[in-house]
Amino acid sequence: MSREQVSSTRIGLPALLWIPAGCALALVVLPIVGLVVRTDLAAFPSLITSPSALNALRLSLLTAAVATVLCLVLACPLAVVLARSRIPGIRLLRSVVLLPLVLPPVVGGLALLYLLGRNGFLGYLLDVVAGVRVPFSTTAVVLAQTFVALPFLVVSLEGALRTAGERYERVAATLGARPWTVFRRVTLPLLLPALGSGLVLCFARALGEFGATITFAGSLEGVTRTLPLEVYTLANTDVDAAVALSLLLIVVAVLVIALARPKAWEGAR
Amino acid sequence: MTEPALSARINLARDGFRLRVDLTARRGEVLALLGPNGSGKSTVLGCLAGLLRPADARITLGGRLLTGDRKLVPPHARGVGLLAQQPLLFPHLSVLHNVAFGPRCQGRSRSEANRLAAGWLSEVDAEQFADRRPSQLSGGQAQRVALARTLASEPELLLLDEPFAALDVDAAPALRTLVGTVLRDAARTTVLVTHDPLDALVLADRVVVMQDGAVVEDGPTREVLAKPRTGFTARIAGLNLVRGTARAEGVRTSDGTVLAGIASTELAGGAPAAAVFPPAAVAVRLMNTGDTDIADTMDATASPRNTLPAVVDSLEPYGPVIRLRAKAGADGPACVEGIIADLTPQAVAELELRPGRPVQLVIKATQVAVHPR
Repeated sequence: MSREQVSSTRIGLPALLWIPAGCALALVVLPIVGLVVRTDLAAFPSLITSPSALNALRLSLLTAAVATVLCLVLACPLAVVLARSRIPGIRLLRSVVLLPLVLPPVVGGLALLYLLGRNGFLGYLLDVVAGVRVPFSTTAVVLAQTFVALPFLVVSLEGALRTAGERYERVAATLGARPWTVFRRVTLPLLLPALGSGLVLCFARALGEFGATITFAGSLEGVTRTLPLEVYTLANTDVDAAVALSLLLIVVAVLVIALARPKAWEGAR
Repeated sequence: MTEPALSARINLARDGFRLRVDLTARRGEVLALLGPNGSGKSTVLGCLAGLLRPADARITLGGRLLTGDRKLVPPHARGVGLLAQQPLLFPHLSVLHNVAFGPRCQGRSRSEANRLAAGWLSEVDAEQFADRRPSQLSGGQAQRVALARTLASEPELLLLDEPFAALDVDAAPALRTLVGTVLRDAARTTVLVTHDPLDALVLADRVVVMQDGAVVEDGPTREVLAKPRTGFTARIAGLNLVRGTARAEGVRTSDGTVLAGIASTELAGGAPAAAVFPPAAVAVRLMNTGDTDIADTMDATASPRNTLPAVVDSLEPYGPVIRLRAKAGADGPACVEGIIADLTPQAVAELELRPGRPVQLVIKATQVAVHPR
């Protein structure tokens, strides 16, 4: 039996699909075009380099980065537990993890506030015991972003684990690898491609976080006012600046996807 | 007889399937587990490897209790290696590091593990792939590396789960040879699951046939396949096997007879080999008849033939044909012992065949496949 190189033929696309597909694409692209058209390009450089804008950008990048690292540390073990553990009630846990994904972010922020605020039971404890107040601090921004971004990473990692199956882990075990060695030398390396794309999604979601942040952390310049919050603040007073910063957010988002996505795809064979 | 190295009693029921198996294997023995699909072979392997937890089982290996008494030694601590149909090389590691994985898990240093891995790679003739990624290997190469990886973890019990089934026809014989060499070299116990009787014929010392979750036959390979008691073995056992060493033209048996055949793969002269041919390829003619007998007139322009003197041992109806079993004559070659030939009832009548009658077995060389073993 010889294996021949054959390329499969494509089944024709129904022409009808192009219409809704085009509409969908227009829905994504046209608003951005509108924003670009509205931008005062001559004033753009000065608008995005104003001290408050730079402050917001710096804060955004910093908090989103820390939130992404936090997600990485927390989501990896959680995804492995959800995908591999056979304890009863794991299905319920799996849906609970998805909660921040479907919850309005404002509700998430409120929930965080009533957990860690001065009247929240954990917040009260922290205040009395350690003198730590979380709300309306940069830490609160990071927590809010981690809260909303975590499910993105958990879902993409868990999906990858389920697709990969336990085959390699079983082989590793028969070769004498203890569970921790299996996790470190087989499970984790095989997750890397999914981890790449998951982290990108995670970072992008953290960067764009608004609702939970404003509820839980407020909008204090230099402390909690991230780029989306700055855009919101300016939209009421200086529309040109708001539009310019929006464009900046778009550029950053596109850059993140363009830089990190292909690497993630290459890894996924 | 010495204490069996492996002893397994497995009892389980799953999805309406019931498995009851009692197995033993001596140290160094190669046990083939044969049976149709769904007979429970792979389930047995899963239990031996510790990947399945049977409801009621007792498995001991070299005096250690692996499964039983409400205890299950986890797969990594069993000393049981498994080579499956798919090589499943870790895609993120180089070939060398794949093989070094087992030694590393046993606490050897990186350099020591790499050195051992290189040794095993050369053992399976794959040292030139050491720096490659698994994705750069062909199926046969990958399975060779997977074999090296399994052996490098130095298992006390080696499980082979249809290791040649996923390979193409060119790669399978070469790997079978390799496995045969490796199995003979080491004093480790092996359980080989297969549905290909050829694997059992050339590799195994003993055959256990399973059907519907139970052992239906158990005995030395040749005995089981020579005297099949179940439909499954009868179907797969319809093959003659003559062992010997490889020669350019075929196989040379220990009594000096040379059986011409077609090599299934490239074979070094003097390497252990087995000639395999179906009973229908064996024609029978009477001794001391001239050149005008049946076989010759039938095959006037035929390919080279093997003509071996023998004596009729038995004749039994076998479906629409008569199955003749041969035995060695007083001064004929010993290798004809047990060779079977399927004849039409007319031929048996015409030749007046009966047990004890000296005959000549004529086997067309083109029908004799020479396999490494």
